[in-house]
This record gives sequence, C-alpha cells and structure tokens, in this order.
Amino acid sequence: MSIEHPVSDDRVMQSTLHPSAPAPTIVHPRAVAPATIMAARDLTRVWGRGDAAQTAVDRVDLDLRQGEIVAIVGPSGSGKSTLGSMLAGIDRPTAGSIVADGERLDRLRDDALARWRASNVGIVFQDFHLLPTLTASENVELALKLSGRRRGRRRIARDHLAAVGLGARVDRLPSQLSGGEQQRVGIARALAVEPRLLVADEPTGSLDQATGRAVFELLLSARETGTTIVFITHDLDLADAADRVVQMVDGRIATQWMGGLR
Amino acid sequence: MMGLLRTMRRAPARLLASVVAIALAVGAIGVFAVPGVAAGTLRDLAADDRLAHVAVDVTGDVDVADLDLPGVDAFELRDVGIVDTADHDQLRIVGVSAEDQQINLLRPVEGRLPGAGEAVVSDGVAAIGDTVAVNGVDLAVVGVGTTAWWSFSDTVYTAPETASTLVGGDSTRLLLRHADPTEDNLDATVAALRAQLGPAAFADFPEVVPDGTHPIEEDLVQISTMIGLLGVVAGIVALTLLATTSSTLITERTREVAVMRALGSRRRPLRRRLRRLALGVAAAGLIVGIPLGLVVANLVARMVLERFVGVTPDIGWSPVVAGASAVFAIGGAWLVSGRAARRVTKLPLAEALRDRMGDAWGRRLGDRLASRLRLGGLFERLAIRNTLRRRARSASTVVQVAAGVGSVIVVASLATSVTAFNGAELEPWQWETRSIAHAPGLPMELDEADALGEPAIRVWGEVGDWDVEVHGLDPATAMIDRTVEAGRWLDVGPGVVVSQGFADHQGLTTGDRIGVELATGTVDYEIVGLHRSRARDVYVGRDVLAADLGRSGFVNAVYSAADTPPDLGLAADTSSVAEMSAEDQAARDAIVGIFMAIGGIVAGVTVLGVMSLVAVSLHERRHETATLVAIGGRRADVRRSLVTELLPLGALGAALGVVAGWGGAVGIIAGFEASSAVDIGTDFAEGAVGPAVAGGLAVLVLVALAAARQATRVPAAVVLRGSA
Repeated sequence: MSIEHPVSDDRVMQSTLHPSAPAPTIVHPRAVAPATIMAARDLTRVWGRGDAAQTAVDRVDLDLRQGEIVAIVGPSGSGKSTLGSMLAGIDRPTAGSIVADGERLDRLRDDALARWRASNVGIVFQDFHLLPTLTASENVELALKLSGRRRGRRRIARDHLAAVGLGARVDRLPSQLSGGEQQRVGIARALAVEPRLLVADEPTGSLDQATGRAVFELLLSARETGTTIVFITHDLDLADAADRVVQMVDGRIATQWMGGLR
Repeated sequence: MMGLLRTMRRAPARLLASVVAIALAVGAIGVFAVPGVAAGTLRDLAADDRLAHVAVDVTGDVDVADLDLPGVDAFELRDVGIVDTADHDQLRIVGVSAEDQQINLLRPVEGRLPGAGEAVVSDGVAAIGDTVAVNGVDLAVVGVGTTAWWSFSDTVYTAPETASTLVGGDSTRLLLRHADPTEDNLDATVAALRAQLGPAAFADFPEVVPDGTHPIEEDLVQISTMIGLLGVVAGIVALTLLATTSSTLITERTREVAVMRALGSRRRPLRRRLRRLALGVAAAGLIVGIPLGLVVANLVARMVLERFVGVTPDIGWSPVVAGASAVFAIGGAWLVSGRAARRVTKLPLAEALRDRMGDAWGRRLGDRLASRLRLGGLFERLAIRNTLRRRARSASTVVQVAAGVGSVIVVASLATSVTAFNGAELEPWQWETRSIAHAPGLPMELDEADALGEPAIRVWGEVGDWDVEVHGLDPATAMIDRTVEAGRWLDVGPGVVVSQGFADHQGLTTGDRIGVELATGTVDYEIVGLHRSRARDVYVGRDVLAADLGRSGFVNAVYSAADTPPDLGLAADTSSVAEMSAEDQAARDAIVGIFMAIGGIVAGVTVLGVMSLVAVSLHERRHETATLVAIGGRRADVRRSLVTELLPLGALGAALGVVAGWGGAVGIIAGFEASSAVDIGTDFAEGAVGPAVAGGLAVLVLVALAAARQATRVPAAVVLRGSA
C-alpha cells in the first residue's frame, strides 16, 4: 500500500480548521500507526455554479488507516455525507485529491473508478437502496458479480445474509422486508465483497433505536477482517464506538478526537 | 401558469419531446385539410374560368341552335384535338373565340387572346413571339396562359377556324353550363342531349361536373383520406408518448400531492391541477402543430395540384381540420392524464406520504411469482422484472416500435402494391401501340381500320355511379389475353365479360345482368365471363357494341402489335405500352412520395416517442441505476441492463409492427378498392421487413446507449442524495 502524498505518520493529528482558527492537537492512541489506505488532500466539493454555488466540503485533509473506525459527525448541511460520498468514490471532488493504492481516484475515468469501487468499497445507505426487483440474495449476488467474483456467488450471498440474521429471508423482495431487515441486506451486500473500506451514511437513521443498535453492531463486525470503516452519523453515542471522530462544521473539519474520549 | 412553467422546468427535455411529437402528429393530421385547401383554389378556378358542367365530344355537324336544353344558360362548341409536333408529344389543340368565350374561359397571364393563325400556349410550350408548328401550320404565339379545364396538359389555343383546320373538323367538344348544376339537373340535361342529338352524335359518355366542383376533387378526397390515416397513427403514437410523460410527471408528485391533501386540498381540484400539465403540453404542441399542419396541407395540395392539375393553389386552411386537431390533442391529453391523476389522488394518505414512486415491486402476487423465476443471469432477471414492473411503459415501448415499423411497412407495401397494380393493369393487353380517334361517335369504317391493325371500339360508360371503360373487341382478338377467371370469353353473341374485381365489388357474377349506360342509353347485358383485368373494364363484342352505339360497321380505335402507333388519318390519342407505363410510374411516384413524407413524420414521431420513453424509463429508475453504479456497476453494466430489457420489447413491437403494417396496407388498399371499385390487390413489401425491423431495433439500441451514457454522467451520490 503506498500513497503519493507525504502523510505524517506520527501520533499527532492536526485539525484542518482554517489557519485563523486555533489548532487543537489530539494524541493518537496507537504507538505504531497502521498503513494509510486513503489520503484526501484539500478535498473540496462545490454544488451549483455562479451565484448559486455552495461549498459543501471545503479543503479537507483526511487520512484513513487500515482497520480504523472513523465516525464523521456534524450538524445537517455540514458536508459530512458529501465527504463520505467522495471517500466512497461515488462522487468526485471539485478540487483536491484522493489517493488510494497509489492512484489518484479523482483522476480515474468513470469505469475505472467503478471497478475500484466494486473491489474495494462497501457502501451502506441510510435509505438502504436495494434494487426493488431483486430478492435479498440477488441484491448481494449482484454486488459480488460486479466485484468480479465468478463462482459461488449464491452461496456467499446466502452465508452473508445468514450472518446478518436473514438466513430464512434470502428470497424475499425488499418490499417484503422491514426497514431493519433491508438495512441488514444492505450490510450483507457491502460486506460480501470483503471491502477494504466500508462507508456507511447514517446507517441507522431510518431505524428505531433497538434495531439501529443491532445493525450498527453488525457493521462494526467488519473490523474483524481488517476493513476500514467510515460511518456518518448524528448520533454521538454511536460515534463513541469509533477509533476516531471527525467533526465537520460548514464543510470543514472543525476538530477530531479519539472515540470514547468525549 | 407559473406552476405549470415550474413543472415544465423539472423535465424540459421530456416535455419538449412530447410537445414536438404532438406538433408533428397534428401536422400530419393536417393532411386531412388537403381537399379543403385544394378545393378553395379549384372551385375558385372553376368559377373564374366558368368551367363546363357537362362536356361531351360530338360530331361536327351538330347544330347547337336546334338544342332545347332546359336550365342550360350557356353552351359552346369547341374544336379540340391532340396532335404530335416536332417539339411536343400529345399537344392539345383547342379552338377559342376571342370575341365569344362563355365556358372554360381562356385567360392569358401574358399577351392577348389569339386570332386566326395565332396561338396562346400553356406555360412551358413556347414564349410570346415564338412560332409553334402544328401539322405544317405555323402559329404565332401571342399569349401565354390556359384554362383550368385543360391546365394539366400542354395546350395550344387558337382561333376556331384555325383549330378546325388543325384537328380536321371532326373533333368537336360541346360544353354546357347549367343555371342550377345539381347532379339530377345535369343527368336530365345529358338525357335531353342524347334524345335530341340522336344515338350517333357522341360515343363517349359525357363528363358531368356538378355544383361548381372541379373534376379532380373526388380523387383528392380519396388520396387525402388515405394519407390522413397515417396522420392519425402519428397522433395515437404522440398521445401514447404524452400519456407516458404526463403519467411520470404526475406520479413524481405523489408526495407533494399527499402533503397538499394532508393540508386539506380536495381531490378534484388537485386532479384538475395535475392534468393541466398534459393540457399545457398539448396546447404547446397545437401552437406549433397547427401551423405545421397548415404547411403540410398546403405543400401536399401544391404537390398534387401541380402534378395532376398543373395549377399552383393559393395558401388555404381548413378550420374544421384545425378544430378537430385541437379537440384530438386537448381531449386526448385530458384522457391520457386522467388515470395517473386519479391514481395519485386516490392513494391512502399515509402510503402516499411515504411513497417515492408509488410502484413498489412485490406487493402483487404476480410480482412475487415473477421474482421466483430465476431465468438467465442477474441482468436478465432485472430486465424481465423491470418489464413487468412497468407494464404500461413496456406496452408503450412495444406500441411505439410497432407504430414506427408498421408505418414503414405500410408505406413500402403501398408502393409495391401500386407498382404491381400499374403493371397488372396493362399486363393482359398484348398490343404495343394503339390509336383512339379523338373524333366523337365511331368515325372509322371497320374495313378501313382493318388495314391498320385490329379495329376496336373504346368508349366510356357508366355502371351504377361508376365510370367504366367499355371495350368493343373482335371475339377472336389477339390484343388481349382472353383467359377468363370464370365463365367464358366473348363470342358473336351479346354477352359481356367484366373485370372480376369490379364484378365482385358490384356483387355480380356470370349469368347476372349488368346495365351499362352508354352515350346512346342504357344497355342491359348478360355477364358471360369474368376477366382478371384490375380496372373497371367491360368487354363487349365489337359488332354488338357498334350496333348499341348506333353505328354498325364502325369503330374508333385500332390496336397494333407494331411499335409505331397506327395512323388513323384523324386526330387521335396515340399511346404505347411504354408511354402508359411511364405515365403510371410518374403518378405512382407522386402518390408514394406523399405517403413517404407522411410515413416519415410518423416514423419521426415514433423515434421521438421511443427516445422519450427510454428517458422516462431511466428517469424513473435513476435511483436504481445510481445504486448499481454505487456498488461498482460500470456504464457497460447500465447499458447491458437497459438493452437487455428493451431489445425483447423492441422485437415484440417490431413483430407486431410487421403484422400491423400488413393489416394497415390491406386496410388502406381495401379502402381504395372500395372507393374506386377496382381490384388493386395488396402486394406485401417483404423486402421492407428486414430494414424496418433492423431500423426499429437499431433506433432502440442507439437510444438506449445514449440514455445509459446520460444516466451515468451524474455522480451516483448526487442522484441518491435526491432520493433521500
């Protein structure tokens, strides 16, 4: 794993709050930092043009390390979902760079980026976004197919669905499943491809508290295979489960802290 | 209004496609206005030129002063003939008195009326100051112009005495105008003429033009109605497209409508508001379409009149057709938007407030059963289920492709049918050339004519309301294939052989009696045989017909197997099979050209329809497409999923289109046959099937590829964000 940007590997993390703002320093708990799998520099995303232009993410620097759990928090409109989308490769920055595996993701052509996504990223959406005409099993199989897996897709899909507690509902259509069940299918779909990066945008936002908690536990289980997890949430209790919490305000990282330190 | 504009901003491309489709369809429907547009010019011409209500060729010794014809307020004898000159074949010579024209007025657009030894010529024959040589006589051209009666041919108008010299004096046309030219009055006039002139005075049945019409109007109505049917197909396709677009736009507002209902809005006003969008599109389509229809109608009318009448019509319009188009578009839009508006306003509020598109898959048993089918790979299953999920959309796609392919097949089949008919019309004849004396009556003695070829009689008659060509032939003739489809060929007896198609149309068969109205009166014949001739032909023994026309031992035509037409020594219409084929071909090309133009509009509307449908279909599933892309789907995967879904629909549509095209062609030809009592026959254009189907599918695939490209342009995150 290599990256182009010179990334500091020390235990001190700098806030990217603007130069005028005080720069809090936070101590990383690990003595030896794991490898960086993604590095974003000056990441900027502007919506609209001219007078209507709105900067959703403004010159953000962020590194993600292998096996790390990062929570992105912030008020509505702070740019956390936009940042998550760019990290997942489903949106492109207006300016700045994202480097993973030595490649500038922001410069990849659409198809190359899709191929990278299919093999490296699992995405869990707040609204689940399952294909409505495919069964739970087929939704997972589709992700496996797109990732290039040629054989055993059905078995793998069923295994992952069983792992999220849906072994008996593999042939159900999304409309026949509850919200919590649909989100479990979403998680199974994301984890089935054994991604190096899992991005979850408000994964419990559409669920009741108990179901949300169960789903969240499932998500965190991906860490056991070394997957880096980035989740976006309003819920600071959930954020506490992260190794690192990144707080965004007005499109910028206002501060970062270690999970459980709040 | 502002609300409507705001809605239009949500999907400008789709709405624009609907507007254009409606406009094109309304434009195509404008073809129905052709007779109206043309009739204005034709009737003005008929009035301005004081066209004859009855015209008949009579022998030169008729004294019109002796005629007592009630109601006739003008009559005139004209010397008329057709000659070949060094520069022109079939040049018509017409005698006109500069001092005393009353009927079929010649009005030169340049120069003046002709005196003795002078000529006024129709446009293109010569210029003022030129000399036209006819039968060794040089005529000085003093004017250019024509009269509407003869505007379709190259004509030389000269003084009566000069014309008499040029055409031999035997060829006189009697023209009459009636004070009250109803059909009944004119029939009575013809009967009076027959009674007073005697049986030998004229051989051809008189041409009768009632009520200030122009002789070509009836044909125009027939052609325009047939072409207009294609316009109606375009209209249906456009309404299907509008239904799709308005339904999608209305369904997209499910939640918005639910919120309004939650706030207290009643259903009926909401429905009205939702339907306004479709009405707005239809109105916009009309604003463009009615002028377009005006242009189409005037272009077609101009094409037809310039080709067949030789006049350029004034710009005209038909308020009836414009009004009907408006009713069609507005009424159609109101109807097609109703279902979606009702559905959206009837959904239970709680469900509607949650609903994104209102069409969740899996609620119906059929959906669940379809989901159990594991046919093909994942993309194939996606395609099958998406097809079933959006049944109306799928059906619309099939209809659009079917309409496009069908219209191509119809136009191609009409072209091949008309071509085959033209060939078949001449096919039974075995002469190469013929001469038909232009002089009225039967001017040639049989024995004299015998030296030139095979003597025959060719006159016009009527059976019921139909003009028929009555052929007097030697029963042992070698000039036509005497094979009959039923019964037997002629013998020396009084029986007749009739074209089978015409006999079928009249419900007649062998052994039945047929009343043929000849110039001399109605003669009742027994049908002894049915011939394969496609036209309205009646074959009679030559001697029998000569006797029935009051001139036993005389004929007016000579058929020949030689390449050069027989010279009768009289003014005559001479023609060869090659010339007639060329004339038929030119007429066919003109008609097929018009059909192709309207067929092109239909095809254009269907392409627009398919484009819009695919766009709508992709728009409806944009979140699914974005999800596919988000989990690693490439553009090729989106393309594949779309093409896999559309190709079977396209194939089904193409197959239905071929069947519908065949049915349409059969229907249109049957309409022609019914309205003309001739056996045209449908010649299916097999050669067009491959290109039409391939073209339809190619359009579908190209549209799908372009749509897939468009759909993957927007980042997945942006689309998915919009669904939250």
